Amino acid sequence: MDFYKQLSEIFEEDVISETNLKDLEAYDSLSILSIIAMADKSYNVTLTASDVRSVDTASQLKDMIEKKA
Amino acid sequence: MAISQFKHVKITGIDYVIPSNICRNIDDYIHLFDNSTKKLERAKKIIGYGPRYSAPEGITTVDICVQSAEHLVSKLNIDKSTIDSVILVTQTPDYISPASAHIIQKKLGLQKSCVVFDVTQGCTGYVYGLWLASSLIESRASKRVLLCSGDVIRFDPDLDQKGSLLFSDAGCSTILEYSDDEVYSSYLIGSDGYQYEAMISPASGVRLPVNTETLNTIITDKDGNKWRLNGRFMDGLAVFDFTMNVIPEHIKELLSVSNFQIDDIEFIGVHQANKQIVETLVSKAGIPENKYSINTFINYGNTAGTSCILNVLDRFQCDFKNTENNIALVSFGVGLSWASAILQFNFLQYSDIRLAPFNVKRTYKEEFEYWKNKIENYSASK
Repeated sequence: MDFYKQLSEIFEEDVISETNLKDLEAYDSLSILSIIAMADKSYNVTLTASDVRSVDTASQLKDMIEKKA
Repeated sequence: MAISQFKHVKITGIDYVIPSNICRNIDDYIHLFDNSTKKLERAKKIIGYGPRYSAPEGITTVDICVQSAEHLVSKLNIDKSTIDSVILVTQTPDYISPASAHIIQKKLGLQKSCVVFDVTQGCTGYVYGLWLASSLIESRASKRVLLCSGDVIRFDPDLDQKGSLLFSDAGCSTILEYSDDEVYSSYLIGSDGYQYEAMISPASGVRLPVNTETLNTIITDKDGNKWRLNGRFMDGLAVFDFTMNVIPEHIKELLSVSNFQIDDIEFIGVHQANKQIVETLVSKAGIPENKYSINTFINYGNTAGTSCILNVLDRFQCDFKNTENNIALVSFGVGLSWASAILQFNFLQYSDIRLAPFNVKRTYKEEFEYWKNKIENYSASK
């Protein structure tokens, strides 16, 4: 599945590359957990909660995962 | 810790009791989700909320464990005088002093020659208790151990109720004894005390006592969650990171040092922290879907130290007759700590999960009056 589609499912609203995740209504500890789980399952990448909190936009998150892959 | 392996310890009975007096359902707490059905449903999907059971005020871990142990002893038809050790593993004892296991000894009417003590351990408590009991038996220090384990976590209506709705209260009693026939069990335990602040009750002991200031202060964090210093503080994301970094590798190590493949294990009872945590860690550890279950968390919640064994009892519906393979327990939590085991259940004569109501003998107010009267009427000289 497309990375942004996966994020859209987590946040239950449309997420595109420029979306600032921290502005989304559903940005909370649950969505951070879901991102960590998704990175692990779909990309075999281990993210920590602070990794996820350190990025703002969806594309920054994508870059981080790709770098760690 | 190196692996501990035992060859002469059998588990003969496990009785698991959940107090049914109070049952809460997340649907009745939609106000905690800004009255938004969408937010509530999202939390349910990710966390896996379901009914949560609590003991009433005045009922403690000791009460639940005593009721459970009475039932277990009668089901196994064992003579109480043959129990030579009692271990209580809990984070919620009746008193700081004496050890609450002494109260269990009195209430059950056990021999005065018993070795009786408490162990303070949280979500890894049951596995710690099994390991300790097995060490006593394998070394011949003890022949028949009563292991009591459980927690009664008070629901604080002023605080983080979403967090409280993860937990249910429970008490479990287990009999372990010496076996002439060979029975294999192995344990792997570890600790990261460097992260002890990640889950803590800051005002619960001698470092910062419970007093009117700590009782009356509610502290709000940056996300708006409220905490009390005498309650449980948790850095949820740090604990999640710890779980993901340590536990999947730990499971692999348990299997490899015990010389087992995952195929040799029939089922892994995983501490039911919440749905997301369990699903992510088993996926990372490469555990196939038929070898774990999250249903226990949904049906009963996180019962702290005993939730991994509840997961096993729940999965097998307490019927181990057709179980030939080994069963693993995996637990992790406050400490931070982790503890796992590979066990055989062939000698289990009895096991059950019981939802039972408890009658309150003394409320807090009555307990207060009891001690006030007792001390007022005390004299060493008259």
